[in-house]
Formats: sequence, structure tokens, C-alpha cells
Amino acid sequence: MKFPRNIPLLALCLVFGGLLWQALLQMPPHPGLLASVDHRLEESGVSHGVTAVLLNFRGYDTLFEIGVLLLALISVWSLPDDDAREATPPAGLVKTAYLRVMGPLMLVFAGYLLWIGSRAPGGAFQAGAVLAAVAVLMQVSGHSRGEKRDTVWFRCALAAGFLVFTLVAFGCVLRGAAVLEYPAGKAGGWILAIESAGMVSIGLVLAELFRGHAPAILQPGRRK
Amino acid sequence: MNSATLFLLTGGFLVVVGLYHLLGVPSVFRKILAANVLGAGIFMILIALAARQPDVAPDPMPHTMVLTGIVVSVCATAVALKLICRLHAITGDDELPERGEPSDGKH
Repeated sequence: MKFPRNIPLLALCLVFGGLLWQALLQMPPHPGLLASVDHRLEESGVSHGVTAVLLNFRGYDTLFEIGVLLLALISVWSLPDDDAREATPPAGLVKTAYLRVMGPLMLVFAGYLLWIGSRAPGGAFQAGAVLAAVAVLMQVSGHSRGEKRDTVWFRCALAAGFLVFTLVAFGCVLRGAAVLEYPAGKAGGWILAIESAGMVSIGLVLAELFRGHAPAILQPGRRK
Repeated sequence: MNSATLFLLTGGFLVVVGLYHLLGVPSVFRKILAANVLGAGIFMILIALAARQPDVAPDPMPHTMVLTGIVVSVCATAVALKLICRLHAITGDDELPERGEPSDGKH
């Protein structure tokens, strides 16, 4: 057994753990910001507190969260590839059958998650994650060679979420309002537009992060 | 002990497990896994802290922080794994060089 490899470190971590437990258990009950969120919930355009915070009250954080997704994708794509990993696995029987049944169901479910996000847990990130899961299933079962990634439309789709969110957020300034201050009464529609573009982008970016290697047109030395 | 307290303590346990392996294990891949466990523990603590009052609805702020945190941690893990692939392709090894050893790879 190689555990524990480093006994002083283990002792330090256990002491830290004990202090952490003590600190956490001593925290008094506190409602947090629930009252503040509920107070302005009708103006936010959605009726679920978490979605309102994510896309309205703290929308700036979400904007840069989508930016971080793109940044990670650019980082992964700018590293050279190991040639051995570009081969796609052969199409498996069980995985293909599973994909045939679950793929359409997951697509419908992603649409449902996007729509229900205004009233219940859901929204762009959850729907995007389900879309990414469909793409990962396709990659793992050998049905995704990645040739369509060479088009400019693919890169537009990857950037669409961040682009739409930035345009809407800073476009509010053109009306004389602050950044991300949606028009009164129409916030729900703008949030839905942002979330729809975001869902597509997030799903594609996560799927590409899983694939790990850049499309052929972007790889050095192979530019057509 | 109600469920919020249980999640609080479990999150703390995961933080300690993740922290120990992040710092103490030489394999870079296992460090990334440990960082993910550490992140899961922190998220669990945040969610448990949002539900501190038993009869009131939970606080939505930590929920949004965790949602953002999950996405950012997935991105960081993806970049880290790609870097590990490059490390393995260059040096054939899974560990970073020790202090004093030459850092050019033995390919």
C-alpha cells in the first residue's frame, strides 16, 4: 500500500480538515440573498431565482463564463496534436443502438431544459451540456469524424453564444441604459435569445473540448 | 444532523482528500483528478451553505456560483488534460521533473 505517501502532509491536511469542519458547523443560519432576489424577481423577465441571478442580476459573470469556454477551446486547439489520437474508434453495436434510441430523446430534452429554465431549474448551460453529451456519444461510438468542422459556419456557431450575449449586453448602452440593463418588460425575450445562442455554443464548445484536437483547416502545416 | 449538515461535512471531507492528493501525489494526471475532487467538495459546501435555514427556500446566490464554477472547472480540466497529453508526448512521462533534474525530455 503506498498510502500514506507523505505523512507530514497528511497530518497537515487532517488538521486543516478539522478546522474546516469546525468553521462550517459554527456558521449561523442565514437566508442569504433570497429576499433581495425575490423582491425584484418580477422585473427580471424569468420566474426562477437562479436563472434570474444567472442571466440578469449577475449576467456579467455569465457573459465571461461563456468567454472562458471559448478561451479554453482556443487553448486546447492551439496545442499540437498527437497523431495517434486522431483515429476514430470503430462504430460499436451497443453504442450505436444506444445512440439511435437516446440521441433524439436527448435532443428533445435539451430543448425542454432550455425552455423550462425560466420557471424551473434549467437554462442554457444545462441544455448545452445535454447537447454536448449527444456529441460525445457520437464521438465515442465512432459516428463523428469531424469533417464538418472545417467550415466557417462551425466557428461562427462556436462563437455565437458569446457574440449574441456581448451584443445584447453592450447594445443596451445604445438605448441610454447601463450595460446589461434589459428593456423593461421585454427582458424575458432577450434572455431567451441569449440562452438559445448560448445553448448551441456551449454544447459545441464542450463537445470540441472532449474531442481535443483542432479541425484540419486550423492545424499548422495543413492549411488548404 | 440534517441533510445540509451531512453535505457540509462530506464536502469538507472531499476537500481534504482532494487537497492531500493534489499536493502529495507525483503523477500529474492524478493531480488533475484530485483537483476535480477538491472542486466537487467546494461546490458541495457552497450548496449546503445555501440551505442553512430548514424551512425557507434555499439562497439562489451560491447555486449560481456553483453553476459558473462547474463550467469553469470543466474548462480548466480540459486544458490541463491537453497539457498532460503534450507532456506525455514530449517526455513519455507522467511526472514533472524534480528540482535539480534536467527538464528536457528523455524521448
